[in-house]
Amino acid sequence: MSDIVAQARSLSRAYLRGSTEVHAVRSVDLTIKAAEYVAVLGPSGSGKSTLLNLLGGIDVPSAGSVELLGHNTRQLSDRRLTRLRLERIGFVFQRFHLLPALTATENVELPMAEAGLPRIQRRGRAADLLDYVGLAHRSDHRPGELSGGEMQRVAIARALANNPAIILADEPTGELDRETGAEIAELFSRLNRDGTTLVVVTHDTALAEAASVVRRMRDGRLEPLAET
Amino acid sequence: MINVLSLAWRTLVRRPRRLVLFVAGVTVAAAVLFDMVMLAEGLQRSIGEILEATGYQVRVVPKGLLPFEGGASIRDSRALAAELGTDPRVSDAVPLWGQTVYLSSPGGDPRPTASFGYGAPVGTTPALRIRSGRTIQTSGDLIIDPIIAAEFGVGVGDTLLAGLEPDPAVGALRRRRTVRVVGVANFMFAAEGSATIGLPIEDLWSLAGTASQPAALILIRVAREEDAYGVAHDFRDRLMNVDVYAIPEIIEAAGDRLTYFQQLSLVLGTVSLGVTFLLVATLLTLSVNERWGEIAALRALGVTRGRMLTQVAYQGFIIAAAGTLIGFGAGLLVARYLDEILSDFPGLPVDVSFFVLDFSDAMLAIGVLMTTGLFAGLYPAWRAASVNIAAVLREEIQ
Repeated sequence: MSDIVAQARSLSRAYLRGSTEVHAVRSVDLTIKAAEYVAVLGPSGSGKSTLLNLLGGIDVPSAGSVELLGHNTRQLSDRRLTRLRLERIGFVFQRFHLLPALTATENVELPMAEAGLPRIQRRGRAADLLDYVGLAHRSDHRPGELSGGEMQRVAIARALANNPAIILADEPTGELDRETGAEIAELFSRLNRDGTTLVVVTHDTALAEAASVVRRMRDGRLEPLAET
Repeated sequence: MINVLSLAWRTLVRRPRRLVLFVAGVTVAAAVLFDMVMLAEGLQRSIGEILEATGYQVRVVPKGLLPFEGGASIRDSRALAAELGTDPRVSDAVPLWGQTVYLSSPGGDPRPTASFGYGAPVGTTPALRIRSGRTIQTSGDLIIDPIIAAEFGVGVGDTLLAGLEPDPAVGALRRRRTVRVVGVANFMFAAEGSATIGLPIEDLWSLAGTASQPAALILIRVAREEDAYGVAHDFRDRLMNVDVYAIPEIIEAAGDRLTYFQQLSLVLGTVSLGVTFLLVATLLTLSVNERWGEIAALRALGVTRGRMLTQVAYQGFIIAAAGTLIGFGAGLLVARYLDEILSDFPGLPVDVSFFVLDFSDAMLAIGVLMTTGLFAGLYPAWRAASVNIAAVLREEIQ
């Protein structure tokens, strides 16, 4: 079995902003292997987030292809792509996107409920995951009662809910102060040490320092930076 | 518990004050709809219930009129009732006449009363609810309503003077006679607040000085309920100078004259459904617009379009259901209040209601309201389900 989790080939994405065509991603080739920790660095507007969305199957390439866990994302129906995201991919957003009406536990349970896991199993797994991210004591709190760092930890636990093959994180420390950002960076390192494949797009060099592969993007193009 | 319905509910209650306002709006619209449903055929149903309560299934009335409509009468009603009574399907045929009769106590001032003359066989006076005493049996018997009893301070066994009208020259009643109170009763066809009496039809004819034996209608009781239509049909064919109706035919004929209630109800009911649709659609559109990023994130996490659509549509259903249930109670209260106001209209029988609740119509209204809520949620639900995930997430952080 191949250890390639995701592979972009000649990947391009252009979209219209008003009447202007924006080439967010231009002819990108990128391979993500199992258990890798890939950081994509670059300034705002360089196309990092678009690349992440393409890799995660929530955006459609204008040209080229994305092979995700053996599936060409362009050839999958919306239903199958949604199922693939649910079961095999974990997303972490800059703005957390926890459901304010649900507790931390329920937010972590949500993808498992969507996948049809029985309540007793998902409740147990949600407790384990919250414990893993250091929030066992906050399990019954709603997002409004949590700090930014705590919300991101819950979001990371949610991303891990269905035991995904890869986690894609878009500026996960973008809304956090430096100290809290460092805690999240440490959590990502621990995740990777425990075998999770990670792709993180970020401005945060501290977050990138822990990555096994660091790539830089500029004007939609990807440049190899360094390997640690 | 995280199911779609639970998520829909918990999403709605995130803004409780706004939810309360919108549910209140739907409640008002639903209450109006229920009242219109009750009003549309309420009067007809109420008339039907009163007619059926008399136990007489067929009415013979003057040509071109409904019972007690206009001042025309059937001549020689006693003979006609006797003739109709010979039909083997008929168990009872009773002429009924209405006139204004004046009553006075000895030496007192006369006062007008609405009077019903009953040509009923002994002990079977229709359209009365005896409160005390008995029904009329012989000439000189009088039944009074509680208003007369209180006004004259009389009860069963007391006597009064009855006459057609006071003589302006002497102030006394003309063609007067002494009548004895044999019962106190409620008259089903009496108008609200009117003083009403009942006496044998022969006494009423005698007081009126008429020899033509007039009747406003002849009530017919059939031995078997299912014969009512056949009897009405046969008598209608046989009798050229009168109209004959079974009760459902009267209700239908009354309905033709009350179409403005139905038109009013249709217009206001449609408006209330439109208001419900707009309220639900507005609230859910606002909610979806506010949750755009959250919806995109949920779709990214693997929530299907169908689940997203269902969740928002359920929100519409919940608002409509809450408004409908509260509106149902509010509608009943408002209908009761309006009925009290409308029943004070002069000339209407006491027992008539304008707003009558029919179970199947109420269930239909509930179903239509909830379906409206569900449909109102479909457009915002479709928008939520077809969110461009990447575009929303991209725009959100720019």
